[in-house]
This record gives sequence, structure tokens and C-alpha cells, in this order.
Amino acid sequence: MRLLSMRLHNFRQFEGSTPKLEFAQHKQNNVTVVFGSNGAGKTALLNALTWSFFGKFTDALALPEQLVNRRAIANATKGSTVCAWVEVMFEHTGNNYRLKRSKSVVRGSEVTAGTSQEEEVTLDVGDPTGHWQAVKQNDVLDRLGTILPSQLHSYFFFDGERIERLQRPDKRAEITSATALFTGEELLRRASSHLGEAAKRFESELRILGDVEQQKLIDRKQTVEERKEQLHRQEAQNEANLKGYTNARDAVEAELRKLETVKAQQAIRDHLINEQERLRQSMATSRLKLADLVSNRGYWPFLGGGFNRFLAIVSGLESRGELPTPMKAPFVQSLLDKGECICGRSLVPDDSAYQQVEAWMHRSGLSSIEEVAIRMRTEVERLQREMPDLYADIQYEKNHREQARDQLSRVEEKLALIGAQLRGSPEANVRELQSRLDSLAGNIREVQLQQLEDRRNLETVNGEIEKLEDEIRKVEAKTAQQALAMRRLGICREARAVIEEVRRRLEAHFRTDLAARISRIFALLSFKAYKAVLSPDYTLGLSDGTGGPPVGMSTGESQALSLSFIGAIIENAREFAASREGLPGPDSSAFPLVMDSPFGNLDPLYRQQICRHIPELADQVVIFVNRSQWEGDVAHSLETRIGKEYVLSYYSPKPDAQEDSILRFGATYSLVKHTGDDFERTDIVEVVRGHR
Amino acid sequence: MDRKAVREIMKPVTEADEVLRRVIERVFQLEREKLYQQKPRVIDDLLTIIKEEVR
Repeated sequence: MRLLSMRLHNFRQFEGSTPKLEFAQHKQNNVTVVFGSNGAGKTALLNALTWSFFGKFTDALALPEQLVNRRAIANATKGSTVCAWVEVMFEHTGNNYRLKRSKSVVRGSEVTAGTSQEEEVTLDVGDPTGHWQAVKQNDVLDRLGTILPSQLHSYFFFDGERIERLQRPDKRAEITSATALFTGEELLRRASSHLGEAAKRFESELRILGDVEQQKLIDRKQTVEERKEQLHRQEAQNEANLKGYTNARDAVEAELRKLETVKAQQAIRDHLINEQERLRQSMATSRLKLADLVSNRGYWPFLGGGFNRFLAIVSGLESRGELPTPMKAPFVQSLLDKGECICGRSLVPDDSAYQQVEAWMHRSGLSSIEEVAIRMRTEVERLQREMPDLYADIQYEKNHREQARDQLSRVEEKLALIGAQLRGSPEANVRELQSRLDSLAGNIREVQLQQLEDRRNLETVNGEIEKLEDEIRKVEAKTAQQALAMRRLGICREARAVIEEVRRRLEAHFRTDLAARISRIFALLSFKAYKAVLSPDYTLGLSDGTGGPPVGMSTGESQALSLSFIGAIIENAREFAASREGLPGPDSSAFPLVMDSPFGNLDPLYRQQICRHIPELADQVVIFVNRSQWEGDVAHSLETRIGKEYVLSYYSPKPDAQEDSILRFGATYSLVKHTGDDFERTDIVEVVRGHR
Repeated sequence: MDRKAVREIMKPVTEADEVLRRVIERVFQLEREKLYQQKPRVIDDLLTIIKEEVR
């Protein structure tokens, strides 16, 4: 992320809209300096940045609730709204952004009293082609969070006089979490933890799928299939029995035909049996014919109303001359195309004759309806004609069946009589043969009944098998789901294990790498031969290399160490962005370093060292300083790296305030001036560089 | 962190089989998008990623 410019409006002591404060961009001149006396608004500028990005303020800002310029409130009429805003332009991964955060107050009865309104924040993004669009309101904080996570704000926007606070024990947790966030460790930790929760979900999915009864169902199906096999065997046995009994009956009847005394009776019986069979067939045929009549023509009697309505519609079409169609559409079209009517009159578009002929097109458009109507009317008339035949056919088949039943009944009576006569025959062998016939007839009837029952059982068994197969298919689908859930759970666990390993490697490498970088940078900033020591919770310490406990630190050393830490983090991010290889971490390789009064607590030697190296620590350095902090070593070290500079001209309401100014490139810029009223204010004035 | 070090750190991912690698890369992308949130709700999205990759 690279800062481009900032503008303020009624923010703290900056009344109205300030000119655009542009930040240095050039690699060799990457330092922006803002000069200002104490109280002129240096800390307000730093907080304008932290507020616009994160809605947060540094510890150094007094009365953070008083954001809106007091004079602007005083000048407003009672009940009117006064707005303060900060607009920051920045660049991130090739896109330009415009961030604007604003807050309004309603002017109350007192000058300073006012009702605060909600803060508003908007973000617009401009792609490299120059096309700008607003980021959706709900996504603004998300987008900002991905550009520069709020937990990291104290790294990049900090109060130099309080920089050593980054090393305070109460800040340790914040530092640990922010560093972990910055290096990608936090992302890996979260990914691992979230995959653990996802694995639990897959486990419970497996538990739900686990109670499958596939084997039980298969066992049941096997039992039912065995029963089916048994029925098939029974069927074959019945067939064999039936054949055996029938053959035996035929043999007995053949013997009876040979006996002189009964052969006439047997001949009659043979004829009656044939007749019995013929009548039974005839009854069956009648039953089928009746079923056929009912299923194919049984709906006819219910169509009377529909037929009448249909015929009325067709008659209506006819009476209106729409049926049959007097002319076919292609014919009318051909007349129009030719431009001449059949009467010889010429047809010119828009002419009344043309329109009259054209009107036939609409009427001829009914030709498709005509075709269907004619076909349907023919069919309807046929059905109406044939309706009496249906009743006659049904009656005929019913009569025929009744007659066959009567005849059958008489034939059976005659057969029973012959049977009775033979049973009572004086000849023993005849009686015996008839007795065998009776017994075989009983057997045949029994087998036939058994066949009926077996067929019914077979139908039941087949239905049961079908049902079981359906259930098994469902369970198989469940089993497939179970296998899939297991594979997913496996991948989930494997992914977690791999991420944990990456995290372990990153932690081990990062800590060693970061400690080495901090030591190297610290060696540049400090004249002491101490080495930086980084604990697992990222607590920084200094070691004298003897292996003993960490040495105590002066304020200067602590500040140098903190800067080394930030420099090392940024350096790491720069290298990382160039070689990430899919490893999660910061998106950007550029980071700003915005410092308010960074050299206040340093002795000259530290100040000189730090100033010499600070432009290398970050891609962009913004420094807010007062004149005394700047002059001397700081000016000497940083002068050649400055790309942009500004002066905060403070207007004091105090009549006896000591006026002050700074000389830059031959021009004098006011640092403190008198104002003509009761309100303080600050103007931002750009220093015109290069004029001496 | 130089390229060699990053490669060494990422070896468990780069040497993982294709499905596993795709899952991890998508998990990283998802977590990156929600990194700014204190308590992101990503479990359903994670399940979707795994279900999409393992069919």
C-alpha cells in the first residue's frame, strides 16, 4: 500500500478544506516531512490517517471525541450540521483508492456542544484503466481490512515518542497477534482450526449415515428369494402332478370306452366333456369381448354434452361464413404480390382495394381450424351414429354369456347323471373305474386350486423382492454417501495436517529469520554490539552475546529496537511478496511508515544513525517534526531523501504568543502566528523546494 | 524470506496430491478473504470447497 495524498475538512484545528497534502513517491526521495510546532496539528495529521483507515486514534491524541473544528461549529447556525472529513488517496496492488471518512455534529445552543452523528466511510476504487467505482457500503471495511489489517495500524502509523511502548508487556499480545497476522501464521492457525471444525461436521455426517441396515436387507431378500425358488419348484411339481392325474384320467376313460356295457355312456360323456370345454371357452371369450367393449368404447355415453357443445361451435363458425374458409391464404398472398385482383383491378399498397383483399388474409388464416373442425365433426358424427351399436353389442355379449352358462349348467347336470349311473353300475370294474375317475377329478381340482394359491403367493413374493431391492438401492446410495463422507473427512484431516506442518516450518523459519533481520538492522541503528533476541511471543530483547539474561535497554535502545522490528517486518514482507510460492501472507510489497515526532527521545548519535537508515526501512516515510527535532543531524541525514515537504502554520488566539517561522529554500514559512479571534486554526502550506 | 526458504516451508503443500493441494489453496484463499474479521464464519464455505473437490 502506498499513500498518494490526504485532504482534511474541518478536522480538529484544520478549518475548512485543506489543500491536498501529497506524499513523496520517488524511490530515492521517498520521505515526506511535515514541520509543525507543538500543538500545531502533527498528531492530528497522524490521527487523520488512523481514523480514516481504522476509525482509531493513537494514545497521544487528546479529546478524540472533539473531531469537528470548533470554529466551524461556532460559525454554524443553531441546529445546522457541521461535517468533518478526511480523504485519503492511496494505491494498492495496481489500483487507486479514494477513502473518505466523515463525521457530523449538529450545532447546539452552546458553541462547543453538539449532537454527534454516525460516522460515514466510503471507498472508491479506480482500476489501471482509470475506471472508478464505489465499493459497496457493506464491503468497505472488509476491503480496507484486506489492504491493511487494523491490528497492524500501530506498526505503520505510530507516535515516535511512544514507539518504545510497542515493547511494553501489555502490548505483547497485540504484537504477537499482529505479527502472526502479518506473516501468514494467523491465517495458517485459523485454516487449521477451521478445518478441525469442518472435520467434526463430516464425522457427524458419517454418524448419521452409519446406521445402515444393508446386510439385514440383503439377508431378508435372500430368504424371500429362497421362498420364490420353493414356489417355482412347487409350480413345476403341480404341473407334473396335473399332467400325471390328467394322463391317469385319460387312461381310465379309455378303459371305459372299451367296456361294451358302458362305452355308449362314455361316448356321450366324451361329447359332453368336449361341449363343456367349448362352452367354458365361449364364456371366457364373451367375458373378454365385454371387457374390450367397456375399455375401448365405455366412455362414449359420457360425451353427449361435449359433442353438442362442439357441434354448436362449428355451426357458429359456419353461420359467420368462416367455415369452410372461402379462400386460402397463399392464394390471397399471390394476388397481393402480383398487384392484381381476380377482377382485374390493380392492387396498390395503402389503396382501399388492396386493403379489402388483404382483409381476406385474416379470414383465410382460419384454414388450419377448418381442417381440424371438419375432421372432428366427421368423427363426432360417426360416434353419434355408432352409439346405439355399442349398447347392442354389449347386450349381445351378455345374452351370449347367459346362454352359454345355461347350456353349461345342463351339460354338467348330464355329466353328473352319467357319473352317478356308472357309480351305481352292477359291474364292479365299472364302479371301480368311475371311483378312480372321481378320485382323479378330485386330485386335479386340488392341484388346480394349489396352482392358484401358489400363483398368488408368487405375486406377493415378487412384490416383496421388488420392495426389498428398492430399499437396498436406497441403502447402497447411503453407503456411497458414507464412502464419500469418509473420503472428504480424510482430505479434511490431511489438509489440516499439511497446514500444521507448513505452520510449524513457517514459525521456526520466520522467528529465526526475523531475529537475524532485527539484529542486522539494530546493528545499523545502534553503536552497541548487542544482538536482538526474539521470544516465541515476539517479545524483543537485547543480548550481549554472553548467553546470559537479556540486557537492560535505554529509551534510545528500546526505540532503535522497535524501529528495527518494524523495519525487519517490512523487509520480510517485501521479500515475501516477491517469492510467495502460494504461501499466505501480505498482498503488498510496499508499506508506508508514518511517524509523529520520531526522534524526540534520542540522543544525537542514535538520531543520526536512525535518520540515516530510516528511508531504507520502508518504501515511503512520512515524518511529522518540530523545528528543533529537525535541525542538525536529522536535517543533514534526511535532506537528500525528501520528496515532499509541508509546514503547519498555526494561528494562535493568544495575543502574546511567540511567533515562529522556518526558513526553507530561501523562503520563510510561519510556524506560529496570531489569529484575530478566539479560535486556533492551522493551515497546511507546501514548501516550494529548490528555491534558495 | 527468500524463495528457497518459502519453497522449503511450502513443500508439504507442493508435494501433496492434486486434490489435496487444490483444497489447501482454496482454503488459503478463503481464509485470506476473511482475515480482517475477528471471528470469521467460514466453516460452511470450507465444507463446500471440500465437497466440490472430493466428489
